[in-house]
Amino acid sequence: MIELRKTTLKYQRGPGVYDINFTIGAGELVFLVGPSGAGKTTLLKLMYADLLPQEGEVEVNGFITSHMRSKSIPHLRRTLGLVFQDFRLLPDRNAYDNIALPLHILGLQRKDIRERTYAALDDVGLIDRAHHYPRELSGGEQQRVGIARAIVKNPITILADEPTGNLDAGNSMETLDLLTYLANENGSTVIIATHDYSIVSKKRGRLIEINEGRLLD
Amino acid sequence: MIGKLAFLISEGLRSLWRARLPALGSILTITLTLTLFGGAYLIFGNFDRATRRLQSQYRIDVFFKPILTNGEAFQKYQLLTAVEGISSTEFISKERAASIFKREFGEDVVTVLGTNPLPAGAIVLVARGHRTARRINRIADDIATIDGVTDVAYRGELVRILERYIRIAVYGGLILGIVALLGAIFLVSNTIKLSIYAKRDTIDTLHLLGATRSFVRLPFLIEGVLQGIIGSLLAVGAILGMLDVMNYILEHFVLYRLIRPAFLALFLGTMGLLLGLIGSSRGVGRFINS
Ligand SMILES: Nc1ncnc2c1ncn2[C@@H]1O[C@H](COP(=O)(O)OP(=O)(O)OP(=O)(O)O)[C@@H](O)[C@H]1O
Ligand SMILES: [Mg+2]
Repeated sequence: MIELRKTTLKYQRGPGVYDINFTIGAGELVFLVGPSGAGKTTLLKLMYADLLPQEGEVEVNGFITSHMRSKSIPHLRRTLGLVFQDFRLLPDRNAYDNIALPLHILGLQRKDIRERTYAALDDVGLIDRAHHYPRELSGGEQQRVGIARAIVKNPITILADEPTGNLDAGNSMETLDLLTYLANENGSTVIIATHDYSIVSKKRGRLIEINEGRLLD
Repeated sequence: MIGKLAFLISEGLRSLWRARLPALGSILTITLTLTLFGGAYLIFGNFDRATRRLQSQYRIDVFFKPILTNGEAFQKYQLLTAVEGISSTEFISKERAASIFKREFGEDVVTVLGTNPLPAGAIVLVARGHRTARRINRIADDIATIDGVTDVAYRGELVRILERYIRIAVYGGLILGIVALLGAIFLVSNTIKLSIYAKRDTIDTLHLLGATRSFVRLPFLIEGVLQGIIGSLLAVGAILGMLDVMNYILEHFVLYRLIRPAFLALFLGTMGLLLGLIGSSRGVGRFINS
């Protein structure tokens, strides 16, 4: 469960988000939409504790970010699967190793890591690309690796920031389908931030709209 | 846990391989440092044996008054045991003195003069722990105060020269070693900083995926430790090689061989490991926060 309570964050040199209140329950699919500069990325960063609120609270899967010690941040993040617009794959390792990384961080057994990594590769249809490096993959394929890396650990929540931002229409739809389908299978909560209303209309999900740092209702 | 450690070690290896060129610089500096320290250790380990061979240098010759008979001289000789810093003594009777004289000069004084003019004497060996020029001087002075002793002779000059050279070698080596040590730590921490800088995006991503601080830091520490271990292996090789060369040369001049001191590899390996660890901790330092 994710809850923002009167959350305000103002950048030192810029705007921010103001007095945000919402609750997202387990298993929900949520689109966080708004024009460029509205504050979507800011809200996601608050959720994965890259930013801490100046006022109010952010509660994510039982962690209240402003009340926890910085040592707990990794533990919060292990309950999350993050997907980025620019994929953020590690360039010096292949698809398999990129996807296995969160499992190494969790400290799973070798055998488990193998099984789950191959299962995730299979889920995103990239078994035959397992040993390709990111530079040897297309944008759409790289984002599928990114999604596999997010879902491989069965996270409670998936946070995706413009996951289709760098993809064409076809790849966008495919990515979106994959994300929602896999999340649904796992029962993960999914929050997708996007400024692209066209993809929102194609999926049945809850809409949270933001503009100039404030929620619309 | 073991799987995680294996993963982090392989990450360290990967990182080392990617930065192999700057790493080579720090590895060679570590090798130089450890070769200096290992050389000192080698000298230290052989010093004792070498000084035992130079025992004659720590010998004091004592001469009693010529008018004393063997028996009277022997009574005085027994007083020597009270002098501090002596490991052994040997009484030289007038007759032994004459035969030593004959052996060294080829003349039999007794037949030449018809009588034996040589005094009785004693050979005194200075105990270990007292074998400095200053201590030997004191011991010689103490012996000279014994009634019935006319003369005390020792080759203090050589001891003093030997001492001076050893001191220069030890201090010089130590200073050089410390300079090299600091250089090695600096270079290791620099290569680690370079590695970290090259991987800053990766580090950010690892943190986003939920990696702890130590998970991110450990591969870099391992990278530094590996540099230290490789450096120390090279140093062990260098020293063993030098030992062979030195023994080859020594064989041709003196009947003395340097021995390999015990725990040489352990000593250098531990030092290399510590060097790498200190260097890389400094490199990682405040670089990786959160
Ligand atoms: N580190 C920062 N310092 C100052 N201002 C910032 C910082 N990061 C973001 N901003 C500003 O805060 C506002 C919200 O930014 P944010 O990245 O949340 O928008 P967004 O909704 O994600 O936009 P986009 O759709 O373009 O990604 C913008 O005006 C942006 O310029
Ligand atoms: Mg954004």
